[in-house]
Amino acid sequence: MKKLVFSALTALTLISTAHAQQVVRIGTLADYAPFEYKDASGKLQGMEIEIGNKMCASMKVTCQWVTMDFDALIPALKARQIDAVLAQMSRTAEREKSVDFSRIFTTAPVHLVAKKGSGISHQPATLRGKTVGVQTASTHESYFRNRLPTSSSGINVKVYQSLDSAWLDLESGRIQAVFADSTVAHDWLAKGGQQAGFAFAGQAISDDAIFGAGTAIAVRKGDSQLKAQFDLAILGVHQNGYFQTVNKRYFPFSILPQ
Amino acid sequence: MDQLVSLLSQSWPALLDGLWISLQLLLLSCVLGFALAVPLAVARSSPRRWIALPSRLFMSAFRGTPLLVQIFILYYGLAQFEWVRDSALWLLVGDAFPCALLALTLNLAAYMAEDIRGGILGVPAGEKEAATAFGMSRLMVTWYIVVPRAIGISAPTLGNEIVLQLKSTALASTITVLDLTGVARRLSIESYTTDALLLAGLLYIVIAAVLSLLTRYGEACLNRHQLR
Repeated sequence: MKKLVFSALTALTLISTAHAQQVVRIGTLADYAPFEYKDASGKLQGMEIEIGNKMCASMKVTCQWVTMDFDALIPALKARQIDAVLAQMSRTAEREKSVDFSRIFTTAPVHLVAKKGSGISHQPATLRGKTVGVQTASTHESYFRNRLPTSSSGINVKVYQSLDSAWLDLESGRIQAVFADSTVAHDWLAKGGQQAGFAFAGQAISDDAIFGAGTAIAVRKGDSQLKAQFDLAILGVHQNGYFQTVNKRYFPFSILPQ
Repeated sequence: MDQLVSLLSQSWPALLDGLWISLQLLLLSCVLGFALAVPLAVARSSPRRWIALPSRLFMSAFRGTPLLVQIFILYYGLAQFEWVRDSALWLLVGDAFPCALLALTLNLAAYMAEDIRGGILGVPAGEKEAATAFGMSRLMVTWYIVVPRAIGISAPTLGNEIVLQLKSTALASTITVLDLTGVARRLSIESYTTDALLLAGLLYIVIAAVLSLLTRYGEACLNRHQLR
């Protein structure tokens, strides 16, 4: 028995040294369908997981997905618990003070979602006296804090640890709108939100200073080697058509950066 | 240290708001929880099963499940039923603060009731017999002799529950209540540092120290007849 365990151990060591690849720990979310989410069996799924795995293969690194709350991603990156963040994180000037970003990976237009016929639109005046739900540490939260603070706009903002909770509160009527990326909003609407009477409210809201040019992969400040590897890998999936193929399976519109 | 000072000078209004919400949750849940715990403990100690059983079920339900689960069930779980949203119950669970207060109160009541029940068991039989000998009815013995004595006996444990409850209030932040923890999380997210959380931790320590001083004073008052 002892011998068997010993030889098994030697075999394992041999295998692991044979594939001594660089390990990259990528921080992501567990509840951000359809980009990254855990299915019923607990397996991590989604568009960014698929493309991410493909990019890791092209970079010849072993990727380890680590899931956490959105607000924990940058602190974890800085604390060296993870090496990169792939979680639909918008590349903003604010975040660039703390981390470095790869080239733009996806575009992410932002939209309000509300009950059909509620009169809520992209015009701030239609939200006066109403409560809007946003995800914690998101650009959407930052938009309301900086552009439409409650004291002057009369709009109440509720901050949720995960977007899933915000959808639940929208359905129960505790909040009258959710402000999120149109991608995840589209997914929620398609999976039942529409049937429950909800829809996109008004037009997409644009504010480049707050929302950035799109989402990208964040790495630690000064980690130029990993950033360069990701830049190359992103360019690869954008150019060889893989991104577009996967994109089509998830959304009826393109989120390829222009 | 400089960082902490500058954080404090910038964010103290927000932290103070959060602290106030935390203290409101603590004080209200302790007062309401205690008021609920006394009848629960008396019912639980009753020799009649139909009185003891409901109280026993309530206590094991709330002591047997994590507070976080209770908060989530009350906040997100109940909100899924339309009849709840249309009923008066929605006044309680429709908003985050009253919902958190409800969960904290029920949870604390279950724990305090168990403590007071222990106190009831510890009331010397002689005192009850003496009261009966004076011609007191069973109801009078219970409310004038047993309950006050039981509260005195269980005072140290009750005081401990209050300090524990202070830390439980932090769970309210999980359902969007901006208590001290909620505010500290907001601030630490904006700065990508844990300084605000550290500051919140210090504030909790100060409150806990004040609370244990107060509860010790309360104990001394309750059991003053035993002081030598």
